[in-house]
Amino acid sequence: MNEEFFSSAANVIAFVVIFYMVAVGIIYLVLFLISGPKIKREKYLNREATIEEMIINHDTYPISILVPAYNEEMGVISTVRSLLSLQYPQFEVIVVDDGSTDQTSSKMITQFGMKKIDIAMRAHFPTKEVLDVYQSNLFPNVFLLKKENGGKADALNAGVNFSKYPYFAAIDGDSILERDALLKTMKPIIDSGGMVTATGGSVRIANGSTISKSVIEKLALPKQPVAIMQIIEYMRAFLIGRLGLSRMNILLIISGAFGVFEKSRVIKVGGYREKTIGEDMELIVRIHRSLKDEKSKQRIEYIQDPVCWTEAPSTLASLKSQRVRWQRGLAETLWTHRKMMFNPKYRGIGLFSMPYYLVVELLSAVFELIGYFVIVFGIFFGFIDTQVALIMLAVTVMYGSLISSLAVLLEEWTYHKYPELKSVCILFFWALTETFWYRPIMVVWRVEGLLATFKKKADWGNMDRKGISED
Amino acid sequence: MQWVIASLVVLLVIQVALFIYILISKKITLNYDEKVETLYQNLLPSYIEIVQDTSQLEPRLPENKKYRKDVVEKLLVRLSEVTAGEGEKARIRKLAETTLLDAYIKILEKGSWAERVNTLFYIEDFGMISIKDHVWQHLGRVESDDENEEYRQTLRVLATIYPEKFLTFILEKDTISESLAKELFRRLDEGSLMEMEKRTSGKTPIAFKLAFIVLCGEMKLNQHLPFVERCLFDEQKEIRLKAMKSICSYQYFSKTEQLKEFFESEHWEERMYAAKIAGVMELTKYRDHLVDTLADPVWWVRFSSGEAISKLPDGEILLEYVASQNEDAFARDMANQMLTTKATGLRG
Repeated sequence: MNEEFFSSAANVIAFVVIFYMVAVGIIYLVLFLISGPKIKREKYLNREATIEEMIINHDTYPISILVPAYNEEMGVISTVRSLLSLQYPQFEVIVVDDGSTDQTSSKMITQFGMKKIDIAMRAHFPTKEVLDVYQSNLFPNVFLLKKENGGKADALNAGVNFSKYPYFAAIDGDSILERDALLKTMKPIIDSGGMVTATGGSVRIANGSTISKSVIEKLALPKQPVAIMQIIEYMRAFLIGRLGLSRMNILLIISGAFGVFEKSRVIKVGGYREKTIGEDMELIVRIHRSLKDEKSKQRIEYIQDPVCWTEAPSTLASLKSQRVRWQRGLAETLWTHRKMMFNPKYRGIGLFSMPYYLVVELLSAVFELIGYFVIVFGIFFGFIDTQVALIMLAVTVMYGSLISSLAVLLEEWTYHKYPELKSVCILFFWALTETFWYRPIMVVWRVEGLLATFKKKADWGNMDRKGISED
Repeated sequence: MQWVIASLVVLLVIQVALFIYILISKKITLNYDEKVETLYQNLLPSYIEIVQDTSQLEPRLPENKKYRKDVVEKLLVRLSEVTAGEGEKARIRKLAETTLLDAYIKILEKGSWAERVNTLFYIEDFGMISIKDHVWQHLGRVESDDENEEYRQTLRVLATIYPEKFLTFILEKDTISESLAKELFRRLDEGSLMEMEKRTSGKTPIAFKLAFIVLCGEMKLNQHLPFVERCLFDEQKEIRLKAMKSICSYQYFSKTEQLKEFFESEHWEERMYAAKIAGVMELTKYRDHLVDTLADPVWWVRFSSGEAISKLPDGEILLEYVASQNEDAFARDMANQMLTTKATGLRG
């Protein structure tokens, strides 16, 4: 009796998981069909020509670049140097040292010949105390704020308080922007006459490639399978997921690695929320919420061009820490804004985007974990039909690899594709193996992240870095 | 069960097909780019000679039309980037018109969206006047949306190579944004700009008027300064503000005594621009007004006043005095900021 019950239950669970996987696969396919035509249409577009005018145009709004930093002595100098080589008419770089215990500030002060200045600072939001403000003697548009430790969101809020331009870009200390990144990212804002309130571009993984002074000198795949898998994941997430959602104006994430925001809108919604890990996503959801509450026609847009390069964790320990944080951030944001979920007042955001992030992005780990248990234990103890187990396995393999293959296709249609034929073979090969090693590991970590949500403590979560720019 | 297996097989076949497709198309593209690059390197010396007018002998171009178009385009783009002389530009235009005209007409009629947009940029870069009627016809086929790059570029091309038709068209539109209007007006010749000034006095959409006022200052068009000065006293606040912004760019204004009333305006933007103008023109007679606005309730007015004082000949002494003696804490803070900070400038 018991055996029969377990067998039936296992088979029912197996079918639920199969149904879930197929449904998620179809959603991704639909997003691919939405994003694919746009990428294909712009495949041969001469992007330099479209931004040329912006360099001389007085309507290209000046922009403040915020670099929140906590114990970033290894990378902060090269990040600021690369920002200084950006092609943009007028910008300021504001490094916010959030109470680092290393030499972050002293390195900045020495390298850029900085001196202390007095500032009549506006306080749009309360933050931990700003202890000192420095300005570079060599580059008057480089500033350093030294403040008490308050977390990344608090550091960003302090940067917004200090900034003087109408738009600001938030960039992670370990990211490198392409030389024309600001022009490309500001283009939708300028072309729309301010109707776009926030933009972000594709973030690509720099491991394996050579970057010098914000220019990609050699594009190549890394050797570590873990880094290659993350490249495939990023392609899938950005080129299919984010572009698809952005085209429907229901995108909920502008990556914390690099995004541009209209300052007045961010001030209006109260700035970054301090007690959360996913402050980047949380802010976007709040902006959407305020736009819908106001019935504003402003929108949030994503551009498919890779504008920001970041270093992917190459060790399992740092990858685990990153994924646990992402999952916690996602869970916290969805919980904070749970009233928007299935709420018709928020249209696409409430009826599709929030449920999508809940069911597809957050809970997929739980469904997949159940799936793996059913396959392994079901076959081992004979609870489920071998055929059902095989179908589950096949669906799992197909689900992952087909979507990844489509992402590789889209990448081939974008700018900065890998130049060698063998890169396509490598990407396809690793995409096929994903189900057997990478996904199970991710699933376990993501479930851990879900459980860790209840701990409720925000920290910086820095990872060990080797540095991505040769500059 | 069989249908499940069949579906999985279909999915597998799709993936394999996708893999083969990507490999083949990538290989074809790599080969094509390599060939165009080789042709470009071979032809570059001859084209340099033609553009520099040291030779009239046109080199033999590839028979294949696509190769020919792509390689000539690449050559002319490169040469346009490094040449500035009128004679050289004229020769580039002639080369473009002899080799690319037919291909460009065909692309405008039947090309893909990206091809058409690229072509419109090249037409403008090479100054291909002989294609102007085709571009004019093309405008009728393009979706007239400000955010459509093709529409924007078609208008830019027409403003550059066909200003008379462009003006007739644009002045009947009322949906173009101010920033696009500025981009377009920047391309007009003096005659067309005078025509614009006449028209903006009439019932032109306000976006055009605002764009034109600001552009006059940005391009320092002295012949239009009286018009901008008149706009300073317009009934509409928006027009007055744009005129003040324009004056900041001109860095000149003939009736400086009239600036006083702007320092006392109820609108903070006018007080801010008054301070900016006093700063860029180093108008020491407004020293006391600037000290007053240094204690303005609005941060932007205080900031602009501080910047303006720092530009005055005795600015530093004045700021030191305010920092130590002024009874207003905001004024003291701003004066201190100006004394310790290097100016990075703010656009008007």
